[in-house]
Amino acid sequence: MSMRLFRFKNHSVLPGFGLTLGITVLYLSLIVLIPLSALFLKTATTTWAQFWGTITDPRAVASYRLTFGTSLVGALVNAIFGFVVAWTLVRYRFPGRRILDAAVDLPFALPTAVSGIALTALYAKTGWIGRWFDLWGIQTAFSPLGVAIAQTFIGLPFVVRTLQPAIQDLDAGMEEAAATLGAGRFQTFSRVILPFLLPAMLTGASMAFARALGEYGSVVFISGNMPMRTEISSLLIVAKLEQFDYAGATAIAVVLLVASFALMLSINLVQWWFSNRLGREAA
Amino acid sequence: MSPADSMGRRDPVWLRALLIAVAVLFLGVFLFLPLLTVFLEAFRKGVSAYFASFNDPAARSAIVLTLVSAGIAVPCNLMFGLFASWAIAKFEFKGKSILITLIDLPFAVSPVISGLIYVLLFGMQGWFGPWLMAHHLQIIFAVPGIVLATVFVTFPFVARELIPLMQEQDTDEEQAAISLGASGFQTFWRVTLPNVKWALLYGVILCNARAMGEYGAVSVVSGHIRGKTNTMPLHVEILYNEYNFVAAFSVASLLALLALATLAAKALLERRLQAAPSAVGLGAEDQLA
Amino acid sequence: MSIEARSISKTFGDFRALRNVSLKVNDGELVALLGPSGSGKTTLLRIIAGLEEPDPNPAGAILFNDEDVTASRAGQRRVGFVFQHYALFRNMNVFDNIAFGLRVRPRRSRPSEAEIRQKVSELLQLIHLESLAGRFPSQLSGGQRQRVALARALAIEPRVLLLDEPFGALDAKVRHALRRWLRRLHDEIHVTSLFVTHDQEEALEVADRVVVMRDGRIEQDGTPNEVYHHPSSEFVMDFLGNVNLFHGRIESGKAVFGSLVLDHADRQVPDGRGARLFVRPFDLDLNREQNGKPGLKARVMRIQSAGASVRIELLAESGEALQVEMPHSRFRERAVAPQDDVFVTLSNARIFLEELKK
Repeated sequence: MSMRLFRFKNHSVLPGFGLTLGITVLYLSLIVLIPLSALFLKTATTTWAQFWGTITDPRAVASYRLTFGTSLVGALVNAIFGFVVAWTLVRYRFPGRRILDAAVDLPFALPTAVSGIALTALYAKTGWIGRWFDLWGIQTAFSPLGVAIAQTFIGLPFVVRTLQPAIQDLDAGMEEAAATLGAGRFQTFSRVILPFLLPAMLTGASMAFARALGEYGSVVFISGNMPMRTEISSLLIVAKLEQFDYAGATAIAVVLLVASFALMLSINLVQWWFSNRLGREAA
Repeated sequence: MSPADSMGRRDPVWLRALLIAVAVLFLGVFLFLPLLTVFLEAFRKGVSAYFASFNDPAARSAIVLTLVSAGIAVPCNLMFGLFASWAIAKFEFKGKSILITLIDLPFAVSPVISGLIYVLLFGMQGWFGPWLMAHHLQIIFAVPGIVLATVFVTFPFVARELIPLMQEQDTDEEQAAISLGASGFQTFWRVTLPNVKWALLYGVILCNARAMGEYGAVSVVSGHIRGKTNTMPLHVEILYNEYNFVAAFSVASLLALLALATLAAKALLERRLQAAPSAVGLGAEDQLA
Repeated sequence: MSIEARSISKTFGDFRALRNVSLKVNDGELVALLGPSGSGKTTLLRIIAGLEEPDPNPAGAILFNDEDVTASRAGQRRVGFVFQHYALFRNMNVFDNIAFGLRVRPRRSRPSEAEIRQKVSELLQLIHLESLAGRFPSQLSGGQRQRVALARALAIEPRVLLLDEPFGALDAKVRHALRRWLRRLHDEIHVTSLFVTHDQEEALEVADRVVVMRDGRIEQDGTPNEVYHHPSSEFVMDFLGNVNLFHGRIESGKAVFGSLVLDHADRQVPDGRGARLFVRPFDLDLNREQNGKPGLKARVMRIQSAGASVRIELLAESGEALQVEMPHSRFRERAVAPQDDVFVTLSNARIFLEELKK
């Protein structure tokens, strides 16, 4: 009881601090930090005009529009349906629930190339789902719609996995209190439950969005890669690399990286802001 | 009966049925159908055609290369994870949260960019390009590059699982071991490691799944040289682009089986870890690439 | 093996946990470090064990049998340390926990497996847990875990035994039983032992000597009798047992506390100096009539007779709340009831002068 507060992990007792920290920092620098800095240094060697020209090139802008747009669509779809999935998995009991729960992680576990060709086969004109859409004149594969579908696939686990613990944390007392005060089921949901789950939903959707931004394998097959129409930004990078336009590839990469980092930062900020307001951990 | 369960019963039956139906349908369309497609397409021309796909020497070398790169990347990142979690969890020092954030960086980097950075370093026009050429060493468009890119994308997996767990556990047991005369290594091996073994295994399984399945990063550094620098995912791509669908999906089915095995192992370990679902969700919060 | 701590100071950030503390424990003694939270007792214990480092100071040192061990690490000092929350190795059973210290010895000095088994069995017999050797810590009760922690520390044949609030996490009954057991164990094996506690009853019951600490300093160092009956300061008196407190002044060589006037031995103290009177509940008596002794008028408010002795709460004329304790036999003689007016007399008290304000 006495001095627990002041008994922090003191490195003079446990050995190995210097060694383990040293190796950690060394490995981190060699594998991650130095290569990443190569990216920014390369950009620094190009002139600003060159850089700006590359990233505002119409082809690049079209790729941004496609990438950001479809990622957003995917995130929104996942926000809605992912919520339903998380809700049913946490609250209801039905046969096969365990299997469904485990299956949610499939987009993580499945190599992106595999999901890429599978999705393409499924949504192509001859595919099982593709042919239904074709009947209605809607092209799924090799169109922005196909890209959006792939982005939805890839972001699915994020929303579900961040919502599940939040739904489990829902205090039965809150809902019961609302009921005793006369709120109907729908009112309880929209006024009590939904606001409580909002931080988790935002976090999950943002993560799905961020992941979709940089996604390559799952999307590159179904998109068809037509420049200006169905070319995602990460493919644009590869295209430039194949033409040995290192500077160009780097420029686009910097845009994507900055966007990802900015997103990660805002996700952390959102979580922090919500945890301050609500006084508990947001997701 | 968890509180969540009993709360679920408060929803009317029709609502429950509806939501369950929607959830099942959504997951069915987005998850199960693609998975099913892989196997259906693989066996489209019959069982013998399926197995014939693996007789191809190019397919065999792709399998070998996948195993090799995972076989190097996973142990490396495992060792890193152990060192990093010991340094971070057992000691106090300034800049700790920065270090943890830096370790997470590879998660925020798109796979293509993960490959690009190594091309910038070791490619022909890269920083070390001329030096490597002069010494007849090749990293890009060769196996070392593939291994490097794989190490990068799977960098944080083991550390991510170990660090929070070890931070939660206090250092009393380690101090007891030290006071009884154990050396640093003995303490780590006999006391610390057994207490985190399930999280360690979990991290290794995730690391391995990603290492074997990585596509984007490896694609950029490999040069797609058939029989030499193709991993399984790359080989799938090549076959697919040649319209050799059956072979492509056959090789893909092996990877899909690996994915299913990973999911099964994950589900089994979940019980062991006794952590909240979010901690076990394949690091959902952090996989941004 | 004697322990000596010389001029030890320890600061954690802004907090001064120990201020130039010196302590000597003689060979074979069982000494208690007693004090409230933040008094520095655990810090001192851990510094002796080598689990913390004292602030650098050329005069500061830790000596075992006059040998300076300040520079050696915890593992080299051969101390047996028993942690407050046991710190048993979760992944090992009782046997392996106890054997640990022997198994990690360097090859040259490591006993054979057979010798280890022998030693561990002896210890298991000592702590009466032979049948539980195969159990894991999670399968043991708190008291059992504590005994295993002790056996584990003893296995390495430590030169000194250090215990950090060994019974803090256990319930009352188990605590009492283990206290007596520890005392008997110490009488058997005679290892120099130092233990930390915030429970004064425990310190008084178990230890050969009690060291009372406060705010990083040693307030008093003496046998249980000395610290209880002859406390050197208000703090010690107040910390060890219940106390009634009166405020008053020195006037004309006497200490005046309301209507209570007492002789004050020290004639040098000038008039007007503040004073405090400390009396233990057992040293107070009450009577219907004033029979010549200096007394205080008070009214009986509440009587608690369910217990080993009777406790009476009173409100003095001067407004203080008083507690008097007496055996049942004497209470029957006094025959008082709530709302009675009585005279309270004292048989033994300590007067402490207030600090002079500078």
